[in-house]
Parts: sequence; C-alpha cells; structure tokens
Amino acid sequence: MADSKQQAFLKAYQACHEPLLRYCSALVYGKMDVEDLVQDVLLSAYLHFDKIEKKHQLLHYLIRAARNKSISNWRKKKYKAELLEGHAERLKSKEVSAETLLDIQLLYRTLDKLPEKQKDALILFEVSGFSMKEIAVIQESTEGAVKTKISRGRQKLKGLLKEKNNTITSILKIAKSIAL
Amino acid sequence: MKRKDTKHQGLFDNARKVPTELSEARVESIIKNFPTIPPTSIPPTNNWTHFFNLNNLIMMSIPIALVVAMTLSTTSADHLSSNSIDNLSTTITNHETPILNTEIAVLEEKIETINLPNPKVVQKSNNEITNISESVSPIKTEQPIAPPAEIITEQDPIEVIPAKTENDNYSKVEKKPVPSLIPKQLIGGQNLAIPDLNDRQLKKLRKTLYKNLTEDNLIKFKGQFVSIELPSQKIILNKVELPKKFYSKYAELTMIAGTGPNRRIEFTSNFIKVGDFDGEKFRGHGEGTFTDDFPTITTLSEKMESAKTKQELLEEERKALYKFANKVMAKSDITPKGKSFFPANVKYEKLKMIHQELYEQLLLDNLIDSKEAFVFIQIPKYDIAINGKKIQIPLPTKYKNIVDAYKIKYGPRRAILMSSHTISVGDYLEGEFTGTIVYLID
Repeated sequence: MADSKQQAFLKAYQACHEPLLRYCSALVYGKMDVEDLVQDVLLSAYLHFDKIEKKHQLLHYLIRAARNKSISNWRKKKYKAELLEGHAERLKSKEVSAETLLDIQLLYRTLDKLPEKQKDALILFEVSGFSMKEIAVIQESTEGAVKTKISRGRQKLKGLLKEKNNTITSILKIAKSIAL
Repeated sequence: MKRKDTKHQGLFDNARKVPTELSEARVESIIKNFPTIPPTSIPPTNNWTHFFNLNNLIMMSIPIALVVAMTLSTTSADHLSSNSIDNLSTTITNHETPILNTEIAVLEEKIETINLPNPKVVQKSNNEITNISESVSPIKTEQPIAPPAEIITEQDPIEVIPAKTENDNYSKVEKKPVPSLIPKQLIGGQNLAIPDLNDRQLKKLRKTLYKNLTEDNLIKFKGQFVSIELPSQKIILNKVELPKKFYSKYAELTMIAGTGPNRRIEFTSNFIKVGDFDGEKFRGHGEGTFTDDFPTITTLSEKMESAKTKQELLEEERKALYKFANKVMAKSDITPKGKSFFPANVKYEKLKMIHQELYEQLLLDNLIDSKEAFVFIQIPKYDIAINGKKIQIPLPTKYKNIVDAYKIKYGPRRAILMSSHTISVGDYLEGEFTGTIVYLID
C-alpha cells in the first residue's frame, strides 16, 4: 500500500521535476538551500498526496507549496555566503561555465529586487517555462493579470540591469584610469 | 507574448538551459527515503474520556472552584449553628395546633443550651430568635404568650444586646455610640493639638471654603488670599470677625482644623496652610506652593488698583518707546519701503528670551549704555539698523543670527522695539505698530 503510494508519487513527480527545481532555485537563491526547500515541499506533498484530487496538477500544488514555504522561511533573511557558494559549486559540478554562472547569479539577484508577485510570475514564465494560463491557475488569478505582472516585471528588470551595467562600466573606467 | 531579444532575455535563456541544481535521481532518492508507514493517527474511540483535555478541565474547574468558595464563605460557622434554630422556627411556624407556654419554655431552654462560639454567632442566633418570636406571634393561643424579658446566654461576657432588630419588643435595645470619624480632640472645646491633615483633606477644605465664602459673598472671587483665624468662640476672616449668622456654618466647616489662639487657615488658589501661626513661625500642615512672604493684597479692589497702576506704568513706558522710535525713524539710515507679507508671529516665552539676549549683546557691543535704554532695531531683509544707524560688519551677522534663531521673519517695516519692561516685534511705521507686544512683568 505504502510502496504503491510512493510509486504513484514518483510517477506524478517526474513531470514536475525540471520546472519545480528551476522555480525553487530562482526563488530561494542565496537565502535558503534548494535541497532543503525541495525536501520540505515534497514531503508535505507526499503526506497529502492522497488528498490531492487532481493528481495531474501536482506541479501547481508543489509550486504553491514552495512559494509558501519559502515566504515563511526566508522573507526577511539576508543572503548567506555559504548558500551562494553551494549553489555555484553544484552548478560547476554539472559543467556549467563560469560566465553562465555569473549570468545566472546576476539574474537571480536582480529578480530578488522585484516585487514579490512580479518576481514570481516572471520566474514561472521565463525560467520554469509555464504558460500564462498555467501561471494564472497557480497564482489563482487571471491571464490578463499575469500578463501585466510579467510585462511590468520585465520592464523593471531591464531598468535594474541597466543600472547595474552602468555602475559596472563606471567602476571599470575608474579601475582603468587608476591602472594607467 | 512576443519575446524581445534583449540582454535580460539572454539571461533567462541561460537560466533555462542550465541543468537543474538537483538531479532527478537525487530527488527520487529523497522521495524514496520518505517514511512508508503512514503517521499513526489516534483511532476514533468511543471512550468518553477524550473529551477531557487540559483546556476543558481548566475551563470547568475555575467556575466550580469559585462556586465552592462562595458557598463556603457564606456557609460559615455562624450559619451552621443557627441551622438548629432555623429548624426550630420552621417547626413552630408549621405547627397547626396552638402552642402552650410549656413548649415555649422548652424552646427557650434549647436556645440557652446552644453553644455560642463567638459574639457573631450570638448576634445571628438572636436575630433568628426574633424571627421565631415574629413567627410565633400570629399563632392564636388560648393564653397570651408572655414575651421573654431577656435572653440570657451561658457566655456572659459576650455582648448580646447590640444585636437587635427594629421592632424589638422582647429585648432591650442598647445602641452603641457610633464612632465619630472626627478625632475626639476636635469635638467641642478648644483644640490645641495641630490636626494631622493629608493633602487630600487640605485640598478638600480649601475647595469647600472657597465655595461657601464666595456663595456667602464673604470674598469676591475664588483664588483670592483668605486668612481664617480660629480662636475659640469666634472666627476671623481676613482680619474681620465673621458675622454671627455665619459662625456655626464656618465653625463646622473649619472644625477639622481645630481651634486655638494662633490657629489659622490661610489659602490661595496655589496653596493652603493649616496650623498655628506664631508670629513669623508656622507649625502645621500645608499643601501647594507657598513661601513665608504672604501676599499683602487682601482685597480685590486693592489688587485691581495695584494691577491697574502697573499696567498704566507699562503703557506709559511703551508709549515713550514709540515716541522714541518715531524720532529715530525720521533720521534713520533705513527708510521702509513696501509692506511685509508675513507677520512676525513670536510667542511670549521667545520674546522674553530675545529681549534678554538682545540687551546683553547690545551692551557687549557698546551700542547702548544700560538695560534701561530704549532700543529700536529695524530688520529689513539685508540691513540691520539699531536706533537709526546701520551697524557695520561683523555686527550684522551677530544680530541676524539672533533674529534667525528665533525665526523672526524679515520685512521692509519689520522692527524690534525694546524698553526695560516691554518688547514689540512686528511692523512699525510712523507710530503705527502691527505685531506682538509683550510686557515683561516678573
């Protein structure tokens, strides 16, 4: 009985793995260990698996659970150096280039500066690859609202990245002048 | 939604292409490590004891404890001892047949033999006895029942007498004197001891006296200085003996202060003193702020007169200052042009401070001879003229700093006029002044 439940859960989970992991990575970047979050979320989903009526929508359940858990765990916490290092090491072990790693870190850090809802919608759409409709279901809102959130999120992100770029170039200029 | 090929889109692409942090195998191992045995839940039983949790027990035990405590407090020993008498009384009231004297005698005997642990018990039992007699009286007997003259208990030292009812026909009523709240030494006769009065009593006394004195038109207003001398057999109010018709009233009101050759109550709205005034020495109690120097003004007319003269003097001083300002302005280096938009809204306390600070600075800079001198300072926006003469650098900054510190706004006609007891800040032009005038009376 228990084994069959585990099997069913594993089967249902297989379709969720990639989008969930991407979402979780972006969501808790530098603030909480992804493994801890995934473990928490999966355990709670596993315990309540029998009660989940729409098994094909397990991913939606997992996404919501991950968001709620992360909010209660790290909303006001600052970045932890060891978590950042852990994240980088895990990706390095999977032969991710340093450049891509930096890009991802920059993206996640900048995403963290966006308002909660915009950040959430943007991660789900851009990183996890959900459709607008799916995001609307997960967030219990309308497709139009999701569209707005994503569009505004993109605009803000663009601005933030531009600012960062400017500061980096100015720092580089100063460094060059000092070197000369 | 179309995706624009921008830098941030490239970042997102990278994030999507990157393998996930945890591999599928790792997550599967996590899932496989989950406990396969479902968490044990308490099976629903028919056992009714599961309703009794700690919360329920606390919620139930508190009211029960309260009820028990209340019952116990009311059912004290006296209640218990009177139970037997209660029973007796009920038997008597329920008695349908006439009761003979012999039965009452037996009843009395029974009452006598009741053990009385304390006076309270006796009081209670006596009450009950009276009730018995009440209940007995309406019963028709062949012979009139002779009321028991006095109930004698075995314990003689216990005072049974005070416990009486209003229609007590069968026992003697001896009223105990009600203990007076006023100290014995204050009741009647001359009381030389200074009463020990607390602040509350003193305040109450002052309030009552003010109220009555004003109502009786013995003083003009509340807050006036009042002195009430209390030698025996007379009361002297503000050095005038109180008319006889008021004597008893005020004797009663001032009873708390006692009487004596030097006994006096003195009070204003700020203080009250009750005690013996022996020359300059005072022995007694007081409340509020007071010094040894009492106000010499005793009547309203005197006070008003004094105030009027002071006001008049200040008015004269101010007028003289304005005359001086007029003269200065005629020859002044600064000619006012236009009107000021903002009023110089400065409060009394600030003006007092400005007055002092400016006089000190002017004396330091040798611009005036003494603090009695009149000062007319013109403060248009850029220049400062003191008594009609523009001051030279670095003095303007000094005075501007003072003006700025008190947030006085500049303006074409803005001026500060000062004499030893007045200060005016506002717009001044040819004898006309619009602004704030303050008289500095210490």
